[in-house]
Amino acid sequence: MLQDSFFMNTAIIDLSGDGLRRLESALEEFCSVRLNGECKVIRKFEVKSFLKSLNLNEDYYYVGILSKFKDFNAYIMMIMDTASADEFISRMTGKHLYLLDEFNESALQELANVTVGILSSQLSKGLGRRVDYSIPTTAVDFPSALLDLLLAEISESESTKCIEISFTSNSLPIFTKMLVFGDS
Amino acid sequence: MRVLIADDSAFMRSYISNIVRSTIDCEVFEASDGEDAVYKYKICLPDIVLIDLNMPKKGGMEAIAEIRKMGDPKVIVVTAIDQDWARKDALKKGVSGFITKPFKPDEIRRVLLMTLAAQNMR
Repeated sequence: MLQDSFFMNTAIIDLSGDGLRRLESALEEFCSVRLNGECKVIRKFEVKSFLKSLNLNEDYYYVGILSKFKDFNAYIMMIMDTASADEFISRMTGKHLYLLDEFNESALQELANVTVGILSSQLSKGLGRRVDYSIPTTAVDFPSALLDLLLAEISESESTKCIEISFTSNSLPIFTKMLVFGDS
Repeated sequence: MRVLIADDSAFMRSYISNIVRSTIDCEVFEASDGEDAVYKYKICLPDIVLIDLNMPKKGGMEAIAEIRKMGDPKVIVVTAIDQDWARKDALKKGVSGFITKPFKPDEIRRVLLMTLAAQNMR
């Protein structure tokens, strides 16, 4: 993992600036809704305090969509409550999320796919080589269970950093977070 | 006119399919991964293939290479991978269009119509 530090440093610079705008417009394009994005870099990542810092409701179900960057020890998880997932689904498909069937799941995965695609494009430019990522996978569970999937892969060390991007809407009850984890 | 849409996302297949049907008079077939794309090409012999790159079982580039061994359809790549290597590789494989996600429906329409116009000029 020789270039992990480059990965996270590039991601931090990009997502704190132009990358955030590109993500915003990509999601807006899919969902036809104006979104406000905010980016926060967590430089000292601690597993215990992390979940609390996300301000997720422990008793609610959330949808998590996870993708891993190949060749890097880095992951992206898109996480949203089921009400937000319902809003996204209804904006994208015209139907409500009564059931997370294959079709609805694939619509949410497409949101994550586009997000990872945008970030990987920027990283590819910086590295001068291809950046591959896994096909996003979806799970529905309590926040702690969803994050366990991710945290099992990420070590708690001085070098682990997280980029937390939150998207909200003024007009709709949409709240989603994108978490980019990696060694730096 | 036959069109094959290969994408592992059921949502995306349906989305693209609706755009294609509203643009040209055609029969649309769908494939859910790269392997399925090669298989569906073999049995449906479409004139145009719209294909994603990051798919399970077999990636889009590999599927295009196999399809090229069987025939010469017009191929349009529709992908979230907006990277130089992908554009160059697609160009080498004689792809007619490269569309990155997210896209506006008009982008699919424009590339589709340009592809058909180029085919008719041959």
